[in-house]
Amino acid sequence: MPDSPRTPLLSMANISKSFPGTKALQSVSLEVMAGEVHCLLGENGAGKSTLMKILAGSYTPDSGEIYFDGSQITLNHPSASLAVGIAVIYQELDLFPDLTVAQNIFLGHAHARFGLLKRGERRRDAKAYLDRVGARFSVDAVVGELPIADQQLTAIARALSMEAKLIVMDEPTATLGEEDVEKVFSVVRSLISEGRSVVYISHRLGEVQEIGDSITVLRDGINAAEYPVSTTSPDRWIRDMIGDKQHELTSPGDQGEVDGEIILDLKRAHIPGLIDVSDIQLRRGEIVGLAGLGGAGRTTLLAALYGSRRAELDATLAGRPHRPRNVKAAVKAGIGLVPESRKTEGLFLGLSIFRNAGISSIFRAPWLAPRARGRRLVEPVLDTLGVKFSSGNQPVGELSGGNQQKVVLAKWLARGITVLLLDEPTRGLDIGAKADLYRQVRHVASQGSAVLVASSELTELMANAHRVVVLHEGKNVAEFNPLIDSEKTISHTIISGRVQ
Amino acid sequence: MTNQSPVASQESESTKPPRPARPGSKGRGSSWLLKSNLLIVFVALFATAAVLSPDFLSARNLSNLLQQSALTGIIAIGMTLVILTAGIDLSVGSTAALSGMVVAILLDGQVPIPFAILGALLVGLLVGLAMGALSAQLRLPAFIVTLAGLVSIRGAAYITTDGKPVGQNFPADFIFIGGGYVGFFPVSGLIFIAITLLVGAVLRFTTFGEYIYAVGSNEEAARLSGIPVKAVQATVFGFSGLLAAIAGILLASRLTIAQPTAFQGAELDAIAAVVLGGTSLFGGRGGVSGTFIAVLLLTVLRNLFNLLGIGSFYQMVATGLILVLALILNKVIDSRARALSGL
Repeated sequence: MPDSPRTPLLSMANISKSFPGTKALQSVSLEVMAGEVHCLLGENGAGKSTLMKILAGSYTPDSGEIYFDGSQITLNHPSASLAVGIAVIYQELDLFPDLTVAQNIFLGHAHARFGLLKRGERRRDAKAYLDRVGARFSVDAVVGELPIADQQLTAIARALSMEAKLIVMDEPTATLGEEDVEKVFSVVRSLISEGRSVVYISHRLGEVQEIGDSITVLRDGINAAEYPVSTTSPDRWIRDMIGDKQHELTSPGDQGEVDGEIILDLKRAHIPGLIDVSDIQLRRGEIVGLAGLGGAGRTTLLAALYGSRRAELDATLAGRPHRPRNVKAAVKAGIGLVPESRKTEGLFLGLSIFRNAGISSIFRAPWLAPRARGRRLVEPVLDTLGVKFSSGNQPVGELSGGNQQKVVLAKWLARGITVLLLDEPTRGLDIGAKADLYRQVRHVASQGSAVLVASSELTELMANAHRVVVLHEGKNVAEFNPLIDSEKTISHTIISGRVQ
Repeated sequence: MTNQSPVASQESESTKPPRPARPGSKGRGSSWLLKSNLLIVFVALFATAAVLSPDFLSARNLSNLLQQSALTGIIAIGMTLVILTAGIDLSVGSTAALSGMVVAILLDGQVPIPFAILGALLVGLLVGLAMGALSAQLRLPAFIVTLAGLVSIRGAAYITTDGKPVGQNFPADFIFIGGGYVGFFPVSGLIFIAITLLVGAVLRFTTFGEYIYAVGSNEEAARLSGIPVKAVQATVFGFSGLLAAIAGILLASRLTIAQPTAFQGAELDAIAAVVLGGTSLFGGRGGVSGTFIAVLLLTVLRNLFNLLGIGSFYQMVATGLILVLALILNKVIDSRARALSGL
């Protein structure tokens, strides 16, 4: 970075915001210089999203002041933020699935005269912005039909088209492949070279190191630290993010041998063209990791065991043949799944915490007073899991990601299961929440259940699983012991399908 | 420490996990297929009718078809706009009846034709806007607001004349707009076509049209993009009320009398046509061309039944069944198309 005279472009001072039952932000400040990449770090629920929604004009702060480009501003509507030159790319990608890429990029600020669209000019300029983010799909493609990575690039192109002075990127790379991440980085660099500023939110600390200039760390709704990237280390950032809590993901695993009885004996699971997996045994008390590239068949295998996908299955569960016709049968047999996308498959976001946690148990006989019974059932479970909430009647959508995932877990614990399947359980969770989740998973295992966890984050599996099974192109090609085999060896097998 | 090893991170990044498409996102390609599928059904039905009954293709019958389609069609065009924003308007039948009463009463009071029509249009527009604003501003479900509208506006239509029909001596010029012909073409049919083209152009070529799709596609994203979501929602209901008023005026003109009982159940015919036309009840997808064809299709169907001498009770049963069949067919074709494009 050239050392130009540095003036803050954005200064948010003493921002406070409360929601019923929680103080999301308490006198938080954020200062972003002109021409810098300012990284905002913090666990899920630390207040990053709330702060950014205030900046976007979506939430109104209870108190505090915002200065932008030298003058005090009031942001009481999204259009106010856009008008002063602040563009936000939301993690949830707020795009219009039914409209084309060109429409999405320019929606709200399209080329028009007297309300009549200039479609030709719009297509041309949309193409230019797509080129700038390195995208190669058509501007006429319907956004809902694009892969998620291309949708992300569309969202970035949209933010560019607003020609904003400050661009907020909330987890822009969470869904991208390596090549696309590079595209995002070059976009960020070109924005900076034009003197614009970027607020960058990411859980991938390597990216922060590569692209960031300075950091603000939030923790539990307060400022935890502020420093430049260059003079500090990721270890320090993590300490500030999680405070005095232990982070167990980084410590070597304490998992030893498990000698419980074999509860799930999978001789073969076969779906032509997709998976052909054989000989995997799960013991009581055991956590088995399922590693593999995307498309290696991890999710499919879990779906086959869970009865949500038809497969030739030769397996026994607790001594009985396991060939579930549907999910209901699998659940009845004692299998629970924590799915990959908790918001759409794992939870009913609008329903209360109690109802979500009780949904799998309250429909069992007797069918009387299901709510009261559900509540009695789930309260101790939620308590054990350490779910943080102000009221059990709160919609589960109001919780942070980590707490939501725990509610999914609570759903199965309340029912009582013998085999727990988890699919990418820590996606979108911060380090503290990940550690906490795995602590709970280990607790589940220690109660006598067997756990099968599919994850792309090998480090997590290394730290928590007793064994790691590697899937490659639908076949289980190897099995490793994380205490003996190195992460490098396993990674090699994940990619190549061969043991070194 | 780091949160992941370089190799592991490469592994997780270099692969694009197959994600399900967003809920409610279906292809434009398949909706084109859907539309042309409807066109094929329409053509087939048209041909069947022509073969079965020699009278069908007579100029008189065809122009009757257009006239019979016009009123429901005009209401259905307004309904399309509302449904595109993921709303619903159950009050259109009542609004049309009230507007018909208003224009008839004004004409009976010797108000000049243009002012009488303007008055009736204004009533429709304001009634629609009021319900739209109520629903958008207070976040009340449009279904309930317009259901309340359906009841009380119908009541208002009865109150105007204490339930009696009205309209003795309409001027000939007024009768012309609902019952007249230009060559073979019924005037009301031409008005229907003109409105369809106009609204189609608004949807396609204006920012307002795009906002309608945007609000229906993702309301939250529309809000975050600075689009005046509530104004858009209120406006489409205003449009719907306005078009219902036009239908009401046209019917009064054609029958040379206005009745407070007119347009009972017209909202359901309109909704059926919109959905049959391929517009998604969840908003964001569809358009007026599908609605236009669907309205004609339903009219041809009724016409065919009449020509075949099928009783009206059987017609009702058959129409319902055909609606369901058409939807199933659409769904099958839709999933076929998606399977083709998805793999």
